[in-house]
Amino acid sequence: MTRVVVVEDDPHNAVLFRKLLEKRLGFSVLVTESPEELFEAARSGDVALVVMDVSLAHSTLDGEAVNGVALCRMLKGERDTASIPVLLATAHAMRGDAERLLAESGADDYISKPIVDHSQFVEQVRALVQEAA
Amino acid sequence: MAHSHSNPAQGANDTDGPAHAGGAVGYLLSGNEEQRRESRLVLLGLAGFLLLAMTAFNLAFYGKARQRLELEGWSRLEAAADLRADQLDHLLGTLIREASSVERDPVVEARANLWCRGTLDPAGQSVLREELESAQGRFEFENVQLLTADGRVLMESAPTTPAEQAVTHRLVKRVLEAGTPLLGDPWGDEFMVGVPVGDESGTTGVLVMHSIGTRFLTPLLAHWPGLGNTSGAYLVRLDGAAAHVLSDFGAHGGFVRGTRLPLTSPRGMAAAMAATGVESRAEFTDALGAPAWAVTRALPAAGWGVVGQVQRGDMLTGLRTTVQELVLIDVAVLAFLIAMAWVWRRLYRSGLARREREITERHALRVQAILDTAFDAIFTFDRQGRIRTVNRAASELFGASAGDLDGQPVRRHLDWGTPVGGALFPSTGAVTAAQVLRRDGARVPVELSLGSSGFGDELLYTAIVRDVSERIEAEKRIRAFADGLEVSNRRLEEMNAQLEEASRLKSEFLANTSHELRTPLNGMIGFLQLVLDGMCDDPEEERDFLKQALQCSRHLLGLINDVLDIAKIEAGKLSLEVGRVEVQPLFDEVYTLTHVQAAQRGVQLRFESSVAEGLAARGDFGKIKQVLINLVGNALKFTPKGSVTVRAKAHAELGHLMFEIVDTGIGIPPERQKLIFEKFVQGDGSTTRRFGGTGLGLAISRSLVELMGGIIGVHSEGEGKGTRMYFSLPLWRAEEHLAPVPVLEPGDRILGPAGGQLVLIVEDDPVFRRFLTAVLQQSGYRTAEAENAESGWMLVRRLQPAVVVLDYALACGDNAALRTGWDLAQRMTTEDETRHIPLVFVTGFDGELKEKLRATAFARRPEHLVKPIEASALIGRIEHVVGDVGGRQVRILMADDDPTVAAYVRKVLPSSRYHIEVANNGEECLHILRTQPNGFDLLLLDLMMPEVSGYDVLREITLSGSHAELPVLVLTNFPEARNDEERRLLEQGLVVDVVAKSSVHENPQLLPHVLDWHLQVARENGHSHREAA
Repeated sequence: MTRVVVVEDDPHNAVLFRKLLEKRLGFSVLVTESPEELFEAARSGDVALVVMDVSLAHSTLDGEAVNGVALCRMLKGERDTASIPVLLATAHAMRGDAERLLAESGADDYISKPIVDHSQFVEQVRALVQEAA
Repeated sequence: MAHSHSNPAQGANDTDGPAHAGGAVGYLLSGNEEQRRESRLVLLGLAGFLLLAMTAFNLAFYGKARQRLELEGWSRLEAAADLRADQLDHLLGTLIREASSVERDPVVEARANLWCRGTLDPAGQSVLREELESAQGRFEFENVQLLTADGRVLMESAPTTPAEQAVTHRLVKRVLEAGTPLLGDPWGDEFMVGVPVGDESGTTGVLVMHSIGTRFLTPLLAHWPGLGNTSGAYLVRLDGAAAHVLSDFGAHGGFVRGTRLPLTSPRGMAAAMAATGVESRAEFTDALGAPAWAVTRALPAAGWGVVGQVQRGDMLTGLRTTVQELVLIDVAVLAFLIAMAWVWRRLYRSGLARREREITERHALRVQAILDTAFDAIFTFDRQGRIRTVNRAASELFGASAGDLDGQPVRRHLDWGTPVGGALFPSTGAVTAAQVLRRDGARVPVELSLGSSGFGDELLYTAIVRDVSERIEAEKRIRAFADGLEVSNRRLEEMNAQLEEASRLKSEFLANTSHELRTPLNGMIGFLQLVLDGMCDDPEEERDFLKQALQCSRHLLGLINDVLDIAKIEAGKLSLEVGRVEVQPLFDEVYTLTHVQAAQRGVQLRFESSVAEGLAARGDFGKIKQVLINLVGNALKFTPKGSVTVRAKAHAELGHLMFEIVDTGIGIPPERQKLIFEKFVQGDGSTTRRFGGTGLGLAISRSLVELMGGIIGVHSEGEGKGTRMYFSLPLWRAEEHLAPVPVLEPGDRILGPAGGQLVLIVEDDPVFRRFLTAVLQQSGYRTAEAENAESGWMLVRRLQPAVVVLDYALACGDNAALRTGWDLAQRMTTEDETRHIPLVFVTGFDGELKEKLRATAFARRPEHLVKPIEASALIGRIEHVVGDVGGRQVRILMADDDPTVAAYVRKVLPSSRYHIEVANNGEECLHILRTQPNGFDLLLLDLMMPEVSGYDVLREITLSGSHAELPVLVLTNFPEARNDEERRLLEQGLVVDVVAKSSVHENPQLLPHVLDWHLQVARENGHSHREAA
C-alpha cells in the first residue's frame, strides 16, 4: 500500500488530509507535525509522497522553530530522501507565493489552500506518486 | 589724509636711495641712474678736454714766452756785443792810430828809418829816443821799442823779458810781412802795436809800442752788465786751422788766453766766424756742458773778432718766472674748475634728489590711491607697534580717522590674542584670526596677515586685515541651517523608517490575515466536500466531518471579528458601552471560556480578586472580557507548564482598578516588550508563528484599555522567567451613578479666589477632579478643568494656565489625536507658547511615568555642582547620578575647556574605578556623544565654554532626544543662568513633575507645595527673562 506523509499543524486540516488521501486514493497516511517523525518515515524508504504545509506553528527541530520550506529543503538535501516527491499545500496563496515557496523549498508541486477542487488535488498527488514510482 | 602719511617712506628714500626703494620706485628711478652714468662720462670727458686744453695752453704759453725771451736775449746779447765790439774796435783803432801817429811824426819817421839803416848818429839817436819817450809819455805806452827788420832791438824805453822779446819778434815779422801797422797778440797785460818804419825803398824796421791793454780791455771783456754772471767776451784771431783765443775769458766755463779752439768744434767755428769778420749767432755747449749762446763780432781795426758768450740759462731767467706764472695760472684754473665742478655737482645732485622725491611722492600717492581702493584694511606699524600709515578701509574698520590713528598702539585697535611662543606680534606670512576693537566698542572678527620689511629700527610691519564677520555670520547661518537640516533629515529618516515599518507591517498583516483566513476555509470546504462526495463511511463520520467544518467556520468568524475590530478602531468607529463592571461576573465568564484550553495544556488557571464589595470598574463589559480572554489566552499559549493567575485589585486612592495576568511561561525579552502592543506585530513576524493568531489581540486590547481610560503594560524579567501583563480601568464610583457627569465642558468655568494663579486640571475621574479642585482653591489657586487630553490641549492654549496638573491615563474619544496625559505633555513641549508651562502629573502610575520620563530627554534635569569641587562631593554625586554599573569602570565624558579642571578631576577620581574621556569644547563633546552613543555613564559638563557652551550641549541633546538615559552632572563657576531658557535647561529640563496620587491623598497640601515651587521658579524665570530682555 502506498504510504504518504502529511505535515500539517492545523488539526482540522490534518484530519481532512488523512480522510481525503485514504478515501480517495486508498493511501496509508501518516499525519504529523514533528520533523523527527517525518524524517524517520522518509528514511524508511517506503514513503511515496510528502504533503507539506508551510506555516508550522508548533514544529521545532533541535529547539529551533522550523517551517515547511526548511523541512522540504532538508528532505531534498538528504540523499536517501531527496527522491521523495513533496507537494506544498499551503494557505500562503498571495500572488507570487507559489513561485517563491517552490523556489525556496525545492518542492515538486504546489497547491493552495483552501483546496476547492478535490479531484485536482487527487490528480496532482497521483501524478507525483506515479512519477516517483 | 594720504599725504601726511607718506612721509616715512619718503624719508627712507632720501637716505637709502633708490636701491632700497620698492620695485615700482626702482623702475621709476632707473632712467635717472643711466643719466647719472652719462653725466659722469660727460664730466670725465670734460675733465680730459680741460686737461688737454690746459696742457696746450701751457705749452703754447711757455713756447711763446721762451721765444720772446730768446729773441729778447739774443737782441740784448747782440746789442751788448755791438756796443762792446764798437768800443773795442775803436780802442784798438785808436791804439793803432796813435802808434801810427808816433811813427808818422817826421822826426821819428826819418830818424827811425835811419837808425834802422844804421845811419843815425847817436844824437839823432838821442833825439829820437827823447821823441819816442815823450810819445810814450804822451800815449801812456808802457814801452816803445825800435827793432830792425832782422829783429835787433835798437832801442827800448823799458827793458823786456826774453819771452816778451819772442812775442815782439813774431809781431815784427808779421808787420814786416804786412807792411802795415799790426796789433800783436796780447802778452801779459800788454798789447803791442807794430808800425813799419821805412821809406819809399822799403821797410827798414818796426816801431813797437807796448800799451797796458787791461786798463781798457778788461772792463769791456768782463761781465756784460744786464746779461748775468755767465756773460763775457773774448778776443779771437784766426790762426791757421784753429782759432786763437787772445784774451782770458773769466766767465763761468771760461778759458785762458792762448787756448786754441779747433774749427771743428762749435766754439771754434764761432771763434773763426768772429775772427773772419762774420757777425753771427751760435749756440753750443760750453766747457761745463751748459748750453750757451754766442755772438760773433769783427774787430776790423785789429783784424780780430770778438765772441760774446753767455749761458743760455742766464738769458732765459725770465722763463722761470713764466713757469711760475703758468703754474699759478694752472692752479688757479684748476681750483676754479674744481670749484665749478663741485658747485655743478651740488646743483645736479639737489636737482636729482628733488626729482627722486617727486617721483617717490607720485609713487606714494599712487600706492596710497591703490591702497585706498582696497576692500581690506591695510596699515603699517613699527616695531613698537605704533601705527604709521592706514588706508581708507582700515580707517573705516577701526572707526577712527587716519589722523587719530597715527602713532597709536596697534593693540588698542587690534586684538590677536597671545601668539604662540609669547611673541609680541603674530608670525609673519601666516593668516591669524584676530578681532578689531572699534572705537564704538564693537569687536569685529577679522583675519590678519602680517608682513615685515626693513631691519632694526627701520623694521616696519605691514598688516592686511580682512573683515570676516559676514563670512562667520554666513558660516554660522549655514551651520545652523545644516544642523537644522540634519535634524530634519534625522526626523525624516525616522519618519520614513516608521512609515516603511508601518507599510511592511501592513503588508505582513495582510499576508498573515490571508493565510489565517484561508486555513480554516480549507477545513470548511474540504470536510463539506468530503460529505458531499459521499466519502463518509457511516453517519457518525459524516457528523464528525460536519462538526469539523463548523469549528473551522467559528475560528474563521473569530478571525474576521478581530480584523474588523482593528479596522473599526483604526477608523475610530468602535463604540463603547460604558457601565459598571463587577469583577466577579467578568471572571466567571472568562473562566468559562478559557479553562478548557488551560486544562488541555495542563496549565493551572487561577482567578483571584481582592476587590472590595461595592467597588467596580467603569468600562464596557464585553470589551473588558475580550481583553481578559485575549490576555489569558496569550498567557496560556505561552505557558507550556505551570500556572496562569488572573488578579484584580482596586486602588481606591488612585482611582483605578488593576487587572494582572501573571504566568510562568516563556517570558518576553526586554527589547520586545515595548513592541508587543503595536498593531500588526505578532510573534517574531515570520511565518513560523508558533502560537497562531492574527497578532491583533494585544493591539486590540491596548486600544480598548486606553479607550476606557486605562493603561496597559507588560513586565517580564526575560525569557523563561514568566510574564506579567497588567491593565487598569477607572473605578466606578457610586456618586457617579447619582450625579452623572455634566455634559457641558468643564473648562468653561474658572473657579476659585480672584487673583489666584490659574491651574488647569486635566483629569477624567470627576471625583478626583473635584477633590483636586477643592484642595487647590483652598490654597488660593483658581482652577479650570478638562476631562480629556484633547480638551485639555484646547484649554492650555486658550487660558495659558500657570500650571497644568494632569492625569496620565485619561478616557478619550475613539479617534482622539491626544489620548493620554502623556500625549498632552508631549504636545505642549512642541509649542513655544506652551513649552514653559510647568506640568505636574498626578497619577496612580507614578513609577511607570517616572521611568518613562527618565527615558525621555525632554525632562532632563541635570544635577550640578559649583566649582571649586570637593573630591568627596564629586564622587558622591557621581555615584548617586550614575547608580549601579555592575562592577565595571564608570565611563565618564568630561567636557571642559580648562585643562586644569580636567587634570584635577582625573586626579581626584581614582582611575581604577573611573574611565574619563575629555572633550575640550562643546563641539567635541557633541561629536563624541554622536560617535559613541552608548559609550558613557555620565556627562560631566562645564557650562562656560567658547562657541558651543554647556547650555548648547544640553539644548542639543535635549532637542535631539538622543542620550535620554545619559545623566548629566554640570560643573560650573556660574550656576546662575543668564536667561530662563538656560535656567530651564540647567535646572528643570522641560518642566515636568510627577506626584503620586496616593501621596496627594495622604497629604493634600503636597500638591499646592509642588505648584508653589514651580510657580516661583516660573516667576524667577519671567523675572530673569525680563532682565535679559
